[in-house]
Amino acid sequence: MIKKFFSRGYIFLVLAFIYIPIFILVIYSFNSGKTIGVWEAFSLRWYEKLAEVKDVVLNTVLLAVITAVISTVLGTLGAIGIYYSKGKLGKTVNGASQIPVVNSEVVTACALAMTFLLLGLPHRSILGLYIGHIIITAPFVVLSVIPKLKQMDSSLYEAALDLGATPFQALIKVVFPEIMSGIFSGFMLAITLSLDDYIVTATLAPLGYDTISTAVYKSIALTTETASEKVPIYRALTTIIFLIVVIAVVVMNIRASKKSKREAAKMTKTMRNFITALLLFALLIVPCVSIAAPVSAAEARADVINVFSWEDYIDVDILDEFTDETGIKVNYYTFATSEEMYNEILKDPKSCDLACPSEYMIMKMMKEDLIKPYEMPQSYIDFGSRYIKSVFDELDINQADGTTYAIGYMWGTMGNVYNTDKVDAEDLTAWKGLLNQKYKGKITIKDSVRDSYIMALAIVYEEELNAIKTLPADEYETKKAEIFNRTDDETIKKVKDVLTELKQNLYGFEVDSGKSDILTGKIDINFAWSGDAVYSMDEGDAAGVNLSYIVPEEGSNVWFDGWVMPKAASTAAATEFLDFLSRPENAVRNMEYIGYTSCVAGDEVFDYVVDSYGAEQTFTVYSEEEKAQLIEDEEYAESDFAAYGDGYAVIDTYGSLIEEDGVYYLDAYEFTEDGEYVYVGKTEVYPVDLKYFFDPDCTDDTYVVYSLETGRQLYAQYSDEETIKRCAVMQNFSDDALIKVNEMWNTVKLITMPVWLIIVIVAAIVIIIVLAILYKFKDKIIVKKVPGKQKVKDTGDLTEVSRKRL
Amino acid sequence: MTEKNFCTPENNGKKRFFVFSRKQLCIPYALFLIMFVVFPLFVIIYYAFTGTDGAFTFNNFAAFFTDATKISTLLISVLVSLAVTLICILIAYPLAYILTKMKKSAAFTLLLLFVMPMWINFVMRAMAMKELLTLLGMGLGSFASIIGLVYDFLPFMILPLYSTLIKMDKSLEEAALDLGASRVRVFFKVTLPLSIPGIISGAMMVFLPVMSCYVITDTFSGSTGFTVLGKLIAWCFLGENGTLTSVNGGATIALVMLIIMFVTMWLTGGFKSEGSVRGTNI
Repeated sequence: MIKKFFSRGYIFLVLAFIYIPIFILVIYSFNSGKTIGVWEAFSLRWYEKLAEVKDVVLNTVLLAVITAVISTVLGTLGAIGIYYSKGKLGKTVNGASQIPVVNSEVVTACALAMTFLLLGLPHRSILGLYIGHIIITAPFVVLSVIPKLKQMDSSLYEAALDLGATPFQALIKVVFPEIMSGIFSGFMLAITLSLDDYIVTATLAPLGYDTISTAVYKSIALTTETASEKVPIYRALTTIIFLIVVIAVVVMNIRASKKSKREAAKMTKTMRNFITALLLFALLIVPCVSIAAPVSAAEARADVINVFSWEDYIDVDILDEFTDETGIKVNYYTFATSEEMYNEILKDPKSCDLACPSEYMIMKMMKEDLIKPYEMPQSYIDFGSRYIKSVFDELDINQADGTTYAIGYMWGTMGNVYNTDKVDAEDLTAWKGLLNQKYKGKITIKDSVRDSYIMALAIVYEEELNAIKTLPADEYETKKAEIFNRTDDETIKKVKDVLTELKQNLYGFEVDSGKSDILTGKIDINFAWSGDAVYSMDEGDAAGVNLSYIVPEEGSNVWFDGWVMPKAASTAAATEFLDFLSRPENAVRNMEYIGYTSCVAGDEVFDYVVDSYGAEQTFTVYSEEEKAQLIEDEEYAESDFAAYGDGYAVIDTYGSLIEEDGVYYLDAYEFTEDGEYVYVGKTEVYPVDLKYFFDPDCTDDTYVVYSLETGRQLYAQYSDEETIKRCAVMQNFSDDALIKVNEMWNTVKLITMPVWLIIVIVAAIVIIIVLAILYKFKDKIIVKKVPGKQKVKDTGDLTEVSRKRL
Repeated sequence: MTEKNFCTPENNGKKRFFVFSRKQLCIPYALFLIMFVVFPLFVIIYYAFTGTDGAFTFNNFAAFFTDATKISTLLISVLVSLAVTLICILIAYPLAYILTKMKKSAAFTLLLLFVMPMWINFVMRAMAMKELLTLLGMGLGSFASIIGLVYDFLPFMILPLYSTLIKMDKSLEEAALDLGASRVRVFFKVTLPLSIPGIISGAMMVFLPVMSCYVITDTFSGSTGFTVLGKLIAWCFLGENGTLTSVNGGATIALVMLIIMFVTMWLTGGFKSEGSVRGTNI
């Protein structure tokens, strides 16, 4: 009884291990939300969205079916040939046929890719992909057909010949029916294997060609987020596939049990396989067909624009309002990386009218002539930030004739968010502070090659970067840009050393977890984008964790995302959308929604910044004459003014500004409830001059604000001009450099064991192998000692050996 | 059409220029294999022993075996593969054993339940497991990777073990029991030794594939840098935007992997036991 209980329990446990993950997936596929673990409401929205992955499903099914058909033909013929040629030929072919079975797929796939390369063919092509899939499936057809040939009565074929059939007829009429069940199961197996393959497809498929495996891989691997846009759709797809499998299995078993046992033995396997095959196709293809075609065809192009952007990168209401105002519908597609946008546009230039890649990808697309210049929308001309425009001029994104390849959307810097209670701000004024042993295990950096590379560059060339600051502005600008874009071999090697050293000091690399880890105290320093820094600090304020943001002295990366139009885009509608998006009021809403900094200036944005990011009211700076006039008019007293730049600043609030050795203090007064005017105290204030960003002609000093704290939200959103001057745009790596930098980065991230451990493990493995060899030959030795047992050759026949020992 | 002995070698080719025989059916398959399976193996060797300039060199191997990171990855792959294989055996063996003691029909249904997930795409299964781990609040890393690998490969272990155990001659166990051996002793002296071919063929279906199954480690290791050897090979082909990076380096590692495969196969006699691969017999 107890035994039974245990065995039942055990079976149940293993079943639970296998099925619980699948059931959870199935359940959450009906959740309207994206995140697993957070149940929002029952909804079929992800099933409706299956249309988005119909190409992927179609690719997969087509590949599997065509592969399976070719493999079955090739493999069946091969099996017959192998079985009936008893000599060397059969053995050799059989041996070669085993290679793809035992070989790892990655070697098979790469070997094939190398062969194409050697022959001067492209290593990625549809033809190569199909060949790859046939290689991994055909041997299994052979493996399932040969046993049937063995079972077949060999005299049948000869009898047919004796009765006057030609060999061909005999084969068709006698042999094939006998081995049909084997052929079918081989066919089914080929389909299963092809459906299941990832590695061969990933290695040989042309860029942009995705099967279910590669598409799902892209959305789940190499990221710690599981809530990316596509994942819920794949949950729904998994649910459907699971259902198909269950139905197929159930049906084939009902079929099997209905038939009498004798009949079943003869017939069912064929029938079963046949029905499964039919069902699998029907059920795989039906959803494909039924979910087809909602997107494009029906709608005329000018009324619809397709926008490629990032997840949560626009306030969704803005899209609706835009449609209401203009009648243009926006299809908003999201991507996880700029590379994905690029691949999609490369694959189908007509697929999108607007895309929002990052700066380096904009430059890559320009270079490769994938995008076209367009007239700047009026609201961007009016309100687009002066600073962003100057950066775009510098990078030749803006054209001399007034058109542009891209207009800015969001921008920011990269720096360190740190816990002010645990980290000394002085330690982080230089990037090498990240190497400080004091903070070992308390730092995360971005799991992103470009971001980490520029940070390491700043450490490598710290002295040079600090030294060139004394140069005239123009020269400094050029020199700085050059340093931040170095990718020569020596630099890459130095960067590798720095990153390897840094890795020892890290808590880990992060994609998205740094924001929460710094709040929970797992880490004290997080290398972050300015927008995320603002988010962290806001959350920190709420949770009572004191965080600050700093861009170290050497400088950093200025990044931006901009809107580009692929060659086939409908310019008019897209421009209209950009015009709508660049209105300051909409920019504010997007900033509020996303938390990043808009490239659009304008008074609405400025007011929002002053209200939301810790800036107290504004400074006003006056010239000498204006100051005298104001005093004369008794607007201000002499003591209210503090020297600021070339002029004199007053504060638009009660109190006066005092300047002592370049540090500003506020002598603040305020009205009490009784209406009394009382002195509050003297506090240090930090003026931040945002003219460089907000002021279109840079003449007015209205855009100087002061804040009571420095290195906080305001600083992260709009760093002061001095900080911005230190930063540079890291451009697109050349193809050659990209390969080297990626290889460097990949190697850095891998685990490196200490030498002693390597030696110990190698020694252990050698011992195991030696023992295994001894064990292998022990059998031979036994065989030699006992005459008449030479047949036992190797451990493959262990059954026999052990049986004999008994 | 009077000749009957088409297939006897003596008559072949004497009376006609072309005589059909069943052997010839394997010619297309043989040609296919030569072109796309055998030849590429030589291409691997060619690339592994040449530099970027095409000249013969041992530098690729020197570079691989002196790089502590790459050697670490190689060793980690071997250890992880061993661990996953062992865990799969430990889970699957009792299960297969219990199944053999059950009624045939019940056992068959259960077996189907165990292998059914094999027909769902393995990346999707990995996604399911990853989401469960997220739900449980478990961090990603080497431990999560091992769970993911076991989850993926367990069905491959259950099948061969079950088919070996079910084919086993029950009378041997009964005889041992009758002769007075305890159940534990019977298990270790009779059942286990007799099931070794099943264990070996199961292990072959787990050990080598794990070493190349970088999809799972990519999914589960987060940013810990925990990966398997297959990843290093794949890097040569799947760099950013799928560009080729270092073909020669990749070929070198592929050759190392091939050698590991041959050594393992030779040691275990695994070349023979591939009949029950991937549910061929279901």
